[in-house]
Amino acid sequence: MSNKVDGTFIKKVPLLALFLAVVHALSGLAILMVSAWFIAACAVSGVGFNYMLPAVVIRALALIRISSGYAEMWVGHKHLLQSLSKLRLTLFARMKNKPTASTAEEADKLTFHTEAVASIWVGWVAQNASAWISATGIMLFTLWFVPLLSSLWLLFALISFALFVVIIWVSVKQARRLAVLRLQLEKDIQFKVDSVDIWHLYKNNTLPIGRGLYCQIRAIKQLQKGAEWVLLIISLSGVFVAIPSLYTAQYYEPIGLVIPMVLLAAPDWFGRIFATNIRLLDYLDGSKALTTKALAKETKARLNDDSIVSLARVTSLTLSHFLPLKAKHQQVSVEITSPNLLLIKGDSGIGKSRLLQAMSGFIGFDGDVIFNNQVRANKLTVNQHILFTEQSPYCLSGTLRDNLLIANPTINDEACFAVLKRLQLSSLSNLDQWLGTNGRNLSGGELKRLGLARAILSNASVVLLDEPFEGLDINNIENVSRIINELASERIVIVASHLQPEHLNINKTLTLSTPIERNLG
Amino acid sequence: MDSTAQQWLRAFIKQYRNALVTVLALKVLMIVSQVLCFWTFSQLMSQLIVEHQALNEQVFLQFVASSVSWAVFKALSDWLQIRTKLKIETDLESLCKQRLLVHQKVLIGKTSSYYWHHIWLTHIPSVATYLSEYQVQKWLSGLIPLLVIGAIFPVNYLIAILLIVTLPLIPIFMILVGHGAAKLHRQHFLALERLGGLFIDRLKGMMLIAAFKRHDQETERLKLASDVVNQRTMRVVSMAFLSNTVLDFFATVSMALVAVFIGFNLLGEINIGPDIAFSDGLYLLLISPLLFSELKALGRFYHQKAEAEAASEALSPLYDIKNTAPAPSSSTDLQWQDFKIDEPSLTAVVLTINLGQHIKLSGSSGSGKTVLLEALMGLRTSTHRLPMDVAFVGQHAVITPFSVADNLALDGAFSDDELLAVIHQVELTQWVEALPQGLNTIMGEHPPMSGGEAHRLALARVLLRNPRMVLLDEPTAHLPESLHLQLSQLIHQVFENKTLIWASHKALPMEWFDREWNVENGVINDQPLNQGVVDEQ
Repeated sequence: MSNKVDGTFIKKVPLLALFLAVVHALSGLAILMVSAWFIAACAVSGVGFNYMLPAVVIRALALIRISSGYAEMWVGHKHLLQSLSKLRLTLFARMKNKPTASTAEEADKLTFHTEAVASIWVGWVAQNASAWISATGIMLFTLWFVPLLSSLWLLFALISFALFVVIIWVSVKQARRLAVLRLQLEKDIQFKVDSVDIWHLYKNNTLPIGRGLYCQIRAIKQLQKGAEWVLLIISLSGVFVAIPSLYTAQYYEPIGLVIPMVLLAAPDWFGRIFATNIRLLDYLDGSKALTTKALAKETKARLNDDSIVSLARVTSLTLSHFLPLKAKHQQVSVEITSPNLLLIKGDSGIGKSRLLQAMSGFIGFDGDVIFNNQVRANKLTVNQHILFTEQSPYCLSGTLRDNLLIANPTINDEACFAVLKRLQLSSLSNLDQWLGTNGRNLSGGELKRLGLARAILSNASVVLLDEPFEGLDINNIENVSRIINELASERIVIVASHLQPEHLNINKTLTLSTPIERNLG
Repeated sequence: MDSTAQQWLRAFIKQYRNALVTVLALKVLMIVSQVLCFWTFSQLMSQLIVEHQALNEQVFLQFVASSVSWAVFKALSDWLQIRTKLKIETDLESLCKQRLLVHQKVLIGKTSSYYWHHIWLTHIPSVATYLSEYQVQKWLSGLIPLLVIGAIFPVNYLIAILLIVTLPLIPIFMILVGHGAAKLHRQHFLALERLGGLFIDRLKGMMLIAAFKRHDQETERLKLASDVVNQRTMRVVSMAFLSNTVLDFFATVSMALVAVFIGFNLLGEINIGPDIAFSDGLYLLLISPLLFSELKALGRFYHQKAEAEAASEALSPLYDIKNTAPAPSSSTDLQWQDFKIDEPSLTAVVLTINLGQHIKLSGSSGSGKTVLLEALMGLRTSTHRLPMDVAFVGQHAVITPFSVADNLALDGAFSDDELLAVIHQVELTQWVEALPQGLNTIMGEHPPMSGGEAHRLALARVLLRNPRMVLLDEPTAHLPESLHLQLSQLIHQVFENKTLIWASHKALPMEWFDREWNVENGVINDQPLNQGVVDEQ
């Protein structure tokens, strides 16, 4: 089960785990069969019956069954973990050229999909392979030992196979419908949650309905249970035919009872496969999602950045007819020489953030970004001389030191403490403290200042700050203004903000406005 | 350790007791049919192989009957179980929706829509699965072994007694292994949690990583972390798998031992206990897996318990909130004595609302202005509640992706003239005329309007309903100064004749207001403003 997409996701087939699974299944079935035959043989045996051998065989099979069971779980899980890691790393590495942050929801889905894809071997292939190999094994057994019932067994196997195929086919269609319903429900919930402020204005406010989704989940479950039931019917019918056949043929051999016994036990060793189909469905869903997600091939225009790399410092930045893609505002042309503080103003929603993101290379743009009046910025990569600090800086799950060193791996602990002090973050005194999920969570204000700390520590000649003042109290706004002023005395700092603090030493202002002239807000 | 979540689960399950007991009974009957089926099958095989008889019609019919009964009870129990699950999901969903409709903003609060996705898509089904599958299976794994021993006893009391003595060993071993695994897990817990979560974390921090061009280093870091996680997980899991193996061991060994014991007994090699006929022996062989099958199935469902507990924790905000006070019926001017909100605590000695007046609600952010407004709207428990229709305008102007007309009318019926009238009042006429299809222009995912225009549309929506009272919660919070002034002026104009309670921490001309409510330290101070406005009584 490998993906066709340029062989990226071809997984190593876990032959050992599969082999162990098959051995485990076959030995279980064999114990049942040999034990039944053994008892019957003992009941009708003549004098020369070698009973020790079968007894030993039974014990040996028991040993094989128990040990292969544990080994299969162990080997299978190890393979699962390894292929999951490999899958995730490949995915992550591929996202290098399309650096958009995933929301919590997208990240969770990606985690789920990778798990579903990696666990197909252990979760579905092993069980189904075991079941069908067992069925084939019994077919051979029947042909050899009880030819009388071989056509019955063949019929049973063929009907079961037909059932198997039909169920999978129908399940896939049902799963697709489920995915559509799920997506729709998510959209409905999103809309409803976002519009909570106007619920009271509706005559009959209705909330999203999950029942449709639940009914579809039920349908899939009914399919599984229905398949198990049909298998039961087929197996029992097989026994209804086998017993009279044996009687009519006056088949008194002990071996004869094995086939009806195996049929009676079919719900156990065979019926279980229908419950595993959900894994197959998740796998199909997951691999489709992953191939669409990670299709970014290596950008052909990868870093003809040599000219940019060779720039030691950026002393002037020029935006020429600059317009981010899908911008709502007019194009921008401005020239800034270092050191400088540029304030970008504009209505909320006009696109101040987008402008900054485009300047640093996260979003595409028309026009040009020119450094030192010589070098054009590469439109396709994130620019190394421009540092973009998001509105709500992300706190990596890691130590405080990790969160600072990401800006500049060469700085030492003292420099870290110094910058934390400047930003009045001295309460974070332990550089080894774990932050983020499973650690300490920083407040909104602390996060903003962490972003600023990173900006200070980095070597970027141009620093972009997106709404650095929002959500801060008066005291912090003054402090942050002071720090931005200091920063702007050495580098080019561009601030996008709808708040304009008193003490901010602004050299230049750029107002974003929409093309159509309006005297309304 | 009975948390509120577990208590609530326990109380919630009571209404499904009957259905679940029926499912349990049906499954037990199914197993009983299976046992009868095995019994008659053994008879038939014995009569054929040992006694060389012809087919005994009666026994064969009994066999067919018990098989049919097996199939029928399986179908019935599965059907009822699935149906109960759907019922639980539906009931739980309407419970959640009821709460949402009553408490609205208070519940939605600061949680993202993702939390609500989880509620609908994961947590509700988790609770339903746990109640309809796990609970039933739990009972089955206790009942069926007893039933099977009961079915063995009349045939061979020795084996039955042996089983009664040895079976309890299974849960004991499994608990021992479970403790060992839990201990190992605790040792590695922190490392597993922190490093295990790195993948998701770095996905969310992708922009940060790209901004500092540290993608390669982070990829390397992820690789190291996943190696550590895998190693440690294998250590924990090596122990945990033993639990399955214990069960497997007992199941396999019991079958093997039964076979060898019976075989040797039949051969006369050993002579312990009562005589065993072949049919008895075959019956015992067929029935012995049933001792373990239900417990094995329970093992497959084990994760459902943890998921259900997580789900009920997540659902706790929904069943924690007490119901709000019913609305009083008077509609004269209001003077409330000893007003109190319980949670969070806010009190006022007296609150006065005179119809037609504008009241300024002031206080530092976080002091409780929003809480007060929510209580006034009836979304929180409080001693008093407004008797009339109240409209609310919040910080974020909600624009739906449908047409302008839909945005204003929502699900009400208003004529185009009425719509245009309010649009004119909020000075959006030019904007509407500039749109390609006027009132019927679809706004879509990215509405073609500025922040200021969106707020005006939101005001128009409220105006359309002509409420007698309007509550405003910092409507200009996210607007730059110039827009704040413009929009505030507009609000003051269009709501001239309405009763208004306006919360704002940005400066507003005090001449606009007749009273001020100042919230500080959990207390609301109600004062008239010195323009000499006399309370009308």
